[in-house]
Parts: sequence; structure tokens; C-alpha cells
Amino acid sequence: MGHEEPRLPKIEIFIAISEGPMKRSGQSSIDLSVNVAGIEFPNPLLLASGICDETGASMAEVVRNGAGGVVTKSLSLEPRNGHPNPSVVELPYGIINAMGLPNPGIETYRDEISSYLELTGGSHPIIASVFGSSIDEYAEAASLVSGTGVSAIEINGSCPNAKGLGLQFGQDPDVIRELVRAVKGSVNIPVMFKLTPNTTDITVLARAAQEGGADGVVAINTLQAMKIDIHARRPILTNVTGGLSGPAIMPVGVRCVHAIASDPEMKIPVIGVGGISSYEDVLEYMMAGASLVQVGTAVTWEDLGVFSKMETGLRRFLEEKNVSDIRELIGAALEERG
Amino acid sequence: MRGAGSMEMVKVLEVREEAEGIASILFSPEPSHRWSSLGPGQFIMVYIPGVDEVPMSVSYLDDDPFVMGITVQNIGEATASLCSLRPGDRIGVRGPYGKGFTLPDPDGTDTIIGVSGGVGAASVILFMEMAWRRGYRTVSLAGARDMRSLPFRKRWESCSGEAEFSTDDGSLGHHGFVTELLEMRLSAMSPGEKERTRVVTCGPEPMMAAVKNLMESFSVSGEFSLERYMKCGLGLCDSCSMSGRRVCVDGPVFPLEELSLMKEFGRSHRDRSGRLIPLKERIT
Repeated sequence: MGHEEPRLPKIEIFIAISEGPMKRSGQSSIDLSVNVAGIEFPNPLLLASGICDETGASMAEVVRNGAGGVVTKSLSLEPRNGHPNPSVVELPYGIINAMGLPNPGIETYRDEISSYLELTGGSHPIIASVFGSSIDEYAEAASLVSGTGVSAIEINGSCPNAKGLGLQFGQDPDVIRELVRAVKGSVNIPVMFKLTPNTTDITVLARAAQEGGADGVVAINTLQAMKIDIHARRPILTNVTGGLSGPAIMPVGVRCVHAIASDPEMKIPVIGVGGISSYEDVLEYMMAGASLVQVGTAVTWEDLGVFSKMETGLRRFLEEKNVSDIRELIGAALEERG
Repeated sequence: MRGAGSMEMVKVLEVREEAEGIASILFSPEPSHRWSSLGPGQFIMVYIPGVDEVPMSVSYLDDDPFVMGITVQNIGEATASLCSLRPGDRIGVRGPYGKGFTLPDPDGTDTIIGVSGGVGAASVILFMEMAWRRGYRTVSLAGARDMRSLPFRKRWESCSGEAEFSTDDGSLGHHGFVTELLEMRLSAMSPGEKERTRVVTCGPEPMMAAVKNLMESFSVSGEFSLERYMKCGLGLCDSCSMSGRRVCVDGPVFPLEELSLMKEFGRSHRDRSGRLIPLKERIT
């Protein structure tokens, strides 16, 4: 072994080992593209925040596997280590996680965003998820990351796993209004607000985000949950509680999206997330009113191939139903349409 | 399969001292379908109530009765509490996870050289035992700081056509690096022999980087078992990300061809926050 100082690769270019379905458009006459808040997505399947998004290369790999875009892990001004393990519990119907928002800070993560944009050629939008411990910090974080080439900001105002951060911001409509307004004022790209289902009426929160100027709302974040080790008589997670994701929360998410989309006051697009693991799930969310969807936990059981599988499933379904444009199905299950 | 990795609470059967500061923990999960795919090089997540949850390669795997084991070096809070377990204590296990070592086509490859350093021996020994039972010619090269800290000496000898050891202080076997033993072997081989040889390795990354250089210069194929800071083990959190690959699901065992494309190997890893740091810095 030499005594040379190990040099860090500045931007890592991972050469694909096998050809993936990076380019699938033009394969049939079915149009899966959607435009949300002026951003063009080649298909409505986004990678959800906090999944496979530690590096630009990882996110590019997700796109190579068929996603229409990605959302970064939640980023803050300062680096955070997250919670010590155990930070995840796997259940037959989902996952409870309490990662604790680990991230290297926006200044460092900037290189990952550049690397992603270089690897994908900018064809698949990247949305930056941000959080902070005060409204000013949120605004500063959004402002800093908005100059890195991301297409939009997703405000994580509802992470249940970090004390003093996230969730309490996301349960108070007055705070949401002010928070979104502050972030909107600090950036010149679209701003989405991610909503918590841990509330009495999610439409109240969605309206507050819209009043603050949000260009879209994302529903839903994880549900607060717990798992107890009956032998040790204590919660398994170091953080005691965590957020439940996966198939268990899919019907909850669909109902939330439906409630927001059918609210006559709501004018901004809804992005559906929660438990999606098949093209049928995607269609449920879209028919409930989602213009885009995000996929996360399904990667556990289906791996990254879940994206191309869903894309193929959507194409087949649309062909079978003689629908040439997926946008026709957005909100198809809403009452006034029905 | 959904829920395949749900945690199973198991009772510790035995804590076996393998070497100075190195112990194996043996336990007996329910012999269910989930464990039928478990093989050498794969890992499980081991939960120590109130302490931590850590990824561990499987180092013991017996069918009848069904017994599984992990081997740990006492270097931190989690490993210290694992080493101080007693029979009857409960720990949680979930898995199996990741891709393990693969047996080569016996028509093309008849020799397997296992190269391990320190506690990296845990995953290699289980594979070498499997290869030995399947009739491959096995050569085990195991290195350690000194004679007292070398685990599995008897197991190496009973699963290897030839077993050679190296120690940093010369107290056992070759006085020097285990990679020097490998280099001596490879340089004595004919081109035909090298073609029929596969090297499998696990140990400190600088050691494996040296093994990789030898494989490339002598044109032999091989597989590497890597280690990175890991939180979920499920391919979700990406904390073990390495050059666009997740060590938990795309690895932890990578073939040489794939590893050659992973520029972070031997150079850098990521701390708990995801920051890229030079390999020599420990994660605290």
C-alpha cells in the first residue's frame, strides 16, 4: 500500500453495466408525460424523498430504471447524522423508519445534484426536498439549493422523525402559510409542500399551503407508528416512534389525495405518495386527483426495476382502455367527473 | 417478498471465543423458508435490544440442527455488547440480505483461493467450506496482526487443500502481508492454472485493494465482500451508497469487473451524514 493521500473523486461517473430502459419514449403512441407547475416530466413516476438518494449516481441509476424524475433526500443547511440504529423496522405490510433526516448539508450535496444532472443530461427533473428548524432556515435552505440546477423545491414540513423539526411546522395551517410564503419569496422556482396525514383534516393544511403560494402539494408523508420488542419490553426504534410507509398506508394516501383534489377551493396540482408499488396503485392515485406520484418503499421488495415495471403496466393499461394520454385519467374518480 | 425481512427474536445458544477480541455468536432461528436462500457472503441485520442494530456476515450455517452464527471483533459499543452476550439472551435478526459469493462453473474453474484479513475471515470461511464440500481445490490465505488474533485456524485447515497464514509480527506463518502470500502463489501459476482460479476476499479495504491489483495484473477473476456504513439493509436509505451501487442490495459481494467501475473503492467512504471522506478516516 502506498502512503499517498487518498484522493476523492470529485464527480463520480458510474458507467452502466447493463443497458437499462433510460429511453423509452417513442416506443408506442401512448403519452405518459405530464407537466406540473411548468415542469415537464417524461412520465409521472418520481422517486420519493429519502430513498436511494444519497448520491447523484444513485439517483441517476433510478432514472435509468424508468423513473420520470427524482426528489432528493431532505436537505438542511448544516450536516446531520440522523438517528442511531435501529432506525428501520420491516413489517409484512410496510416499513417503519426513523432515519432522522441524515444529510451532508446543502453545500456538500450540491456536488451530488451536479453529478445527477451530468449523468442524466437534465432530461429528468430533480426536485430538492428541504427542511430547517425555523422559517428563516427553511427559506435560506431553499434559496441556497435553488441555485444548484434543481427544478423545484419540496418543503418537508412534515417529517415525524426529528425533534424540533418538520412535523410541528406541518400541523399548523398558520405556520404552513407563513412557511410557504417565506420559501416562495426566497426562490424563483416552483415550490411544493409535503403534507402530513397525522392531522384531523388534511384539506385544511393543503389550503394553507395554497394560500401561502405553493405551486403544488405532496400527499402524504409517513404515518406516525411504533413497534415494540415484547421480550425487552421496549420500542425497537432508537427514536421510539417512526413513520409508517408502504402498502399499509396506500388507501390512506388515496383518500387524502381524493379529499384534497375534490376540495373546490384547491386549484394547485396534487402529487400522490404513499404505498405505491404497482401500476394499479399509480392509477388509483391519479384517478383520485394526483398529477404525479412518488414511489419509495416499494424499492425494498421490487428493487429499482419497480419503475420500469410500472411504466410498462401503465402503457398496457392505457392501450387496453384506448386512452392515448395519461393526463385524461387525472382526477377521473372525482365525483364531479364521475 | 413483503415482510421477508421481518425481525425474528432468537435466543443465543453459545458465545465462542475465536481469537483475541474476536467472538462468534451462535443462535438458532426458526428453520423457515426465509432462510433457505441464505448463503456465504450474505448478511443479516442483528438487533441488540437497547444498543444498536448492525449488519453482520454469516460465519456459521448448519442445517441439522439449524444453527447460524456471526463473528465479531470487539471494537465498539455494538460489538462489545455482542461479545458480552450469554446463552439464553435474546437478539433480533432480520434478513437474509444482499448478494453473496458465487460458486464458479466447475468445468471452467476448479481452484478457489480465499484471501482474508482479520475478522474479514467470517464470510470467506463459510464460502471456502462450501467450495470444499463441492469438490473445488481450495487454498486459504488468512492474515492477522499476530497468532493470537487469527480466527478459525482449525476451520481453515479442515476446509482447505492448502492453508497458509501470515502475521504482521511473524508469530505465525509468513511474516508480512497476506497479499504477499497471494502474489507468490499467482506468480508461480501457469496461464492455464490462473484461468481456472477464482480469488474471493474480505478484509480491510487497503488489503482488498491490493488483492484487486494482483488479480488485474495476473488476470485472475474474483469476488470482493465490501463493508460500508449501513442503516436499513433494505436498499432504501442509500447510506451504504458507493459509486451508484448500494452495498446492501447490489453487494456486499461484487465481482472484479463491477468493482473496477466503482471509483470509490479503496479511496473513500461516506460518514453518517452522507459526506464523502477518505477511507482512512473512521466513522465516529
